Amino acid sequence: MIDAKHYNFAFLDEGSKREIRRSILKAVAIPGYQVPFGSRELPIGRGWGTGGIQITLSIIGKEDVLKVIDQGSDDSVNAVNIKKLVEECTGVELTTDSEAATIIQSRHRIPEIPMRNDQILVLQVPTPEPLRIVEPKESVTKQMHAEAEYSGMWLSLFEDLTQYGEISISSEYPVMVEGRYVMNPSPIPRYDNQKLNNSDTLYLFGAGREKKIYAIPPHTDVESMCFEDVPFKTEDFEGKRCRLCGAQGVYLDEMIDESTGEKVYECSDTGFCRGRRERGA
Amino acid sequence: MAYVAVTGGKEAIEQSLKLLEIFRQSKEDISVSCIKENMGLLVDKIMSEAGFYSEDYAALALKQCEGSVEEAVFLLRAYRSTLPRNYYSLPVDTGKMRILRRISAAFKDIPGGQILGPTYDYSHRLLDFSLMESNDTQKAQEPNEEAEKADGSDIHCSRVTDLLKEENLLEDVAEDNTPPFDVTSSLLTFPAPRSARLQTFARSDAGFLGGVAYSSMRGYGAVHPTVSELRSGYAEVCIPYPLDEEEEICIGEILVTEVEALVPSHTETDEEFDKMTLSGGYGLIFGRNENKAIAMSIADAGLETEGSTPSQDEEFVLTHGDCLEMSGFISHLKLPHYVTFQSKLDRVREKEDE
Amino acid sequence: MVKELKLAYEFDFVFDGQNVFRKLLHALANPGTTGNIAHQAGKFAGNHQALTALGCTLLDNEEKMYVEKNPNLSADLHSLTLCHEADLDEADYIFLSSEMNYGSMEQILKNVKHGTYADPQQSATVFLQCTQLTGNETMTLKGPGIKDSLTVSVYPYIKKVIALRQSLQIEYPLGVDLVFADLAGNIMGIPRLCSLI
Repeated sequence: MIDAKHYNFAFLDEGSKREIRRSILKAVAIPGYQVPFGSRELPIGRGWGTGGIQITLSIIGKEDVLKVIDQGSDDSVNAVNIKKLVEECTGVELTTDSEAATIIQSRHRIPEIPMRNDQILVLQVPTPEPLRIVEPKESVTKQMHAEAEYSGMWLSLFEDLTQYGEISISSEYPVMVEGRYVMNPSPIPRYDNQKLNNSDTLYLFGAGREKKIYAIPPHTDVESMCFEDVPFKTEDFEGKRCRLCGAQGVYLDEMIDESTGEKVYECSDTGFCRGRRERGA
Repeated sequence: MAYVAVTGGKEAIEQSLKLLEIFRQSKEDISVSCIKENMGLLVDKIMSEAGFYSEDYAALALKQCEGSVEEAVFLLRAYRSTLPRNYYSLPVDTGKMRILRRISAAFKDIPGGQILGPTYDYSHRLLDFSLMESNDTQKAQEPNEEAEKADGSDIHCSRVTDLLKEENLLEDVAEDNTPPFDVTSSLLTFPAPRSARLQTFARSDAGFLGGVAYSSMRGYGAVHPTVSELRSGYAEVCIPYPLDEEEEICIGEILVTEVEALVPSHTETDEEFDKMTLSGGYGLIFGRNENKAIAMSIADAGLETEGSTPSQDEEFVLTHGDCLEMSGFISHLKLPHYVTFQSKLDRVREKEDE
Repeated sequence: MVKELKLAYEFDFVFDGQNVFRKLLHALANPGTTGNIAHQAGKFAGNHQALTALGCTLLDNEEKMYVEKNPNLSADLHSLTLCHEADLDEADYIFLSSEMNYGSMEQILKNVKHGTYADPQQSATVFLQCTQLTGNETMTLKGPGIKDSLTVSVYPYIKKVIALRQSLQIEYPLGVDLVFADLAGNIMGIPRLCSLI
């Protein structure tokens, strides 16, 4: 289907790749700032990870080893579909082992095993603008970022706090980058927010439909927005463990055991879980 | 089972694609040229929303996706991303187009005359059951004189608005030769230049644009225009000659529909009263695509007015009408959201526990 | 001439371009560390191979470049990428193929695009060629991409340019990103937030 006669290596034409690459470099230089770019249409639906895919296609080379996960899972239909596209147009090696990958593209999760400096994590972002919850207009939010005018955001967090007794944002919890830009970490759970701070790896965020690219370089200061007297809280899995590998203190998927009707848990990061079981066996 | 991760993804996708093949199978195959010739207006719609002028590829896309408009637009747009952009065309003068149809709702007599051309406007929408039986797949190849005449006509007309310009009734607009903004390679910023608006509208989903225009005409907005001129025809596209940029070279013709709509506006003067003038809304769409072209001219004029209705909200109108973006984001809800939902549950349960 | 043309085309815009980009990305994400693009740069003839390779990776007819006093490099970059030259204060990518004195460097860093508060990405990236990256001048850097701080021994020119940029006190997020390249194809990125301690 994706033959070399009709399609370039990595699908996009070189002009498109260059534009995306230039935007990525600017994003790295201005951590947390959303760099606008001319998002291209892809053979996969807009809203299905096209921002991440465009980044992956623009950075990938023949030597790379790619892992794609969706919600932590290597085998989810969307992850499989994206992997298949990238494989067909580049021929790169695929893996489910996060430590063997040079590039990991992910939707909604950061792998459990800390990533290294020679790896890149590409995150798919549906709505990159963290201020959208307080202001629908792009022209206004752009100005707010320009002036670092985040009082509306703080106010909305505070109102939330007074209404619920704590901040009710579940996933996609906003962060402050290098004390300058409020950034949407993409819909990762709060549990993953801490992995953005002072990490060894480079994070690239791509929003295809909204045409934005942003980045967190390694060892960048990333703080989840909260108030001094109300500490930031991650999801609570206390006393719960993965029924497959027994892991505790990791992000778990909740499911219902068909035979007993009881709630059971499995690792959300399927590659991590499989690795533990293989080593254990 | 409740929130169970979708596993076996690879096999599932393969089976789904197989099923799709089965659903697409038919007893009678339809050729790409057959689609192109029999479904011309559909082909035009696909080309317009894809922003990609190729009747053959549009027909191919339709064949490939069971005639789904959004899928066909999707296929063309994705293919478009892979093409290098070697040349930028020179401005196309639609005033010089070879006309198929041209009407004015503003004046009865216009230089060059009203040319009704091919239109369904005055047809009775009665199902023609005789078409059920006709099955002449191979039409006679001998030349059809009438058809030749219909397509080979060499009619060129001046614009209706030229008349108004002579009388100074049209708002005076200075010629603007700044290079157009390119919405396909840059993110729109607001306020958007008019070139960006027009490009966005030209590729907009016809239904969305129709809704915006209709709301404006009905009262959520202020634009109920007069169609000064609607014309469909073939316009030449030229590029600078690569070896000598002073020269130009024609690379082909495109079929387009153009609308100029007139709305009253006022011009501030130094005198006691402001001057009443007419200003224009503009529509230009690939193919024969009349309602979309009119809707575009209304939407364009609507953004020149001020007010709080949806059709006057530039950012709202320009960011929500792209076929691919809207269908992509709506359909993404079919993707699993286990992790985020788990996180939400964590929040909700914590509340219950307290 | 024929030989030069042939050499110019040994650089593969698809695969070599991708390789150089990744090295550059790593360099800018990890300021102060050294990457090497000698293999790709070696596919060009001339005295500014690394700059040419970097140019061919990023430039095309959509961008504007400024090349300081080097018509050969300018002509090469234009014919290879179709990128047009612009004035210093309009250019997106600046190429400085020789080491410059303090005054000229100050003028350049002052006058290149710094971006705006709303669009800080509309700023220039400056590529500077120097004889070598390593040297006997010690500098300590901090900023995103650096864990705590990083001390490296560099060629004195590099530290001078960084100190000069710092002295201009361009308010973040405005700024100028610097990329140093030497004759051996080593590259080092110093993005706007990276500073000397």
